[in-house]
Amino acid sequence: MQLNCLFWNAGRKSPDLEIAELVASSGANFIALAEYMDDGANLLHELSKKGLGFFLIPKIGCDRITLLVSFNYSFISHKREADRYTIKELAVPGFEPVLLAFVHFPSKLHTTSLDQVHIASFFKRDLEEAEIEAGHTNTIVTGDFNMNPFDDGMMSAVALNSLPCLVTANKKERVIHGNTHSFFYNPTWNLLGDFTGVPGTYFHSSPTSLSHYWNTLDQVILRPIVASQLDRNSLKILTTAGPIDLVGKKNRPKISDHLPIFFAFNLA
Amino acid sequence: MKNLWPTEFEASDLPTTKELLEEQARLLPQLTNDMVHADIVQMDELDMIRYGLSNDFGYRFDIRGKFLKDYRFNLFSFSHDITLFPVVFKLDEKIADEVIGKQGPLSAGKMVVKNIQELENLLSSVFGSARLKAVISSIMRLSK
Repeated sequence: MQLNCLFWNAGRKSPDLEIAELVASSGANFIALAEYMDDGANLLHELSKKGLGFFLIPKIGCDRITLLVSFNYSFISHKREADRYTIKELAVPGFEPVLLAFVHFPSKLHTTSLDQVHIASFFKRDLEEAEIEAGHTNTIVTGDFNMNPFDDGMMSAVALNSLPCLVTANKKERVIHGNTHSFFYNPTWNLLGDFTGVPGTYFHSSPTSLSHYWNTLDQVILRPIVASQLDRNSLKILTTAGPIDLVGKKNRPKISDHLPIFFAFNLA
Repeated sequence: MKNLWPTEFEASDLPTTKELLEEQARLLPQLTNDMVHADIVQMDELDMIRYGLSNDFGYRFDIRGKFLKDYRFNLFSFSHDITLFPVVFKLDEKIADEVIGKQGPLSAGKMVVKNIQELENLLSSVFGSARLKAVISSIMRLSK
């Protein structure tokens, strides 16, 4: 079975038609939305108009993230969460269980790099506890990290410690001053630059001397142990939703201020 | 040699923040038909750094569902040094917005209480917040 995951920061809107088109054109069976401003009823209606049956996963403490699945949601259990993230376990009979974490970290516009390291560290600590409780590290994290893959909160050992190189991440952990820090593998590095499509998921022109213009804030990271289950070719930034363009002039996002990402993961 | 010590020392009979919260945690199941529990977990030094807290003793206060195995919602964390006050709280961001007003994503959650009265006032606001009621109500709904 393949987990086909679509993540989109909807930009404080509820673009139900576009989401339904995205799901129909990508084949997503798991939808994760941030900054989605509706209760999801109309989205379910738009999906059903396309013959797509989805269920909303009930929210408890993280109402920033809306999750929908097309399969039996009794396979999903609620794990640790806070305002900025939620951790679920997907346990489909006959397959290894997977921890799925969804994040929407604070914007760079309102936080310092150090704040971002703190919140990423806080999240990682809870995620590691969830892994201990679940008894496995088959873990995938996706969402709007509000950081680029090269930012401190993504790369620092005390924070997410997510590397662009699977060979290095396969070492599983590094020890600094006696403390062990586990690695993530971040395949999203492969989406940086303009050779294969748009150069990021979010465009921001900063008046400061350092401006990246394009940022890849929406990412997926995985534990190295499950990295081989990611369908590498599937990881994409999406610029169209069926017949609808999600980008306008100069390829910049136009429906939301973010572009969605999609990836497929083979359950083992 | 002159004795420079005072004539006597007294142990404080005020409850610590942790003791007060343990009492409150014991009350929660009674109010929720035993469906919702609360836990106080001590943090180690690395956790304290991770949580952005810099005192000697740190704890997190989590809400749990009796029938939601391994579910845990972090309501706040708090820390203090060897003296019982001040206590630094780091609240859930939305509760902080509700209780102390919007101040920015991370700084908004931080609050310092200086005495038992301020502590009781803060906890009363947090426990009475619409956000926490919504979380507890969702846990109860999913537990049926």
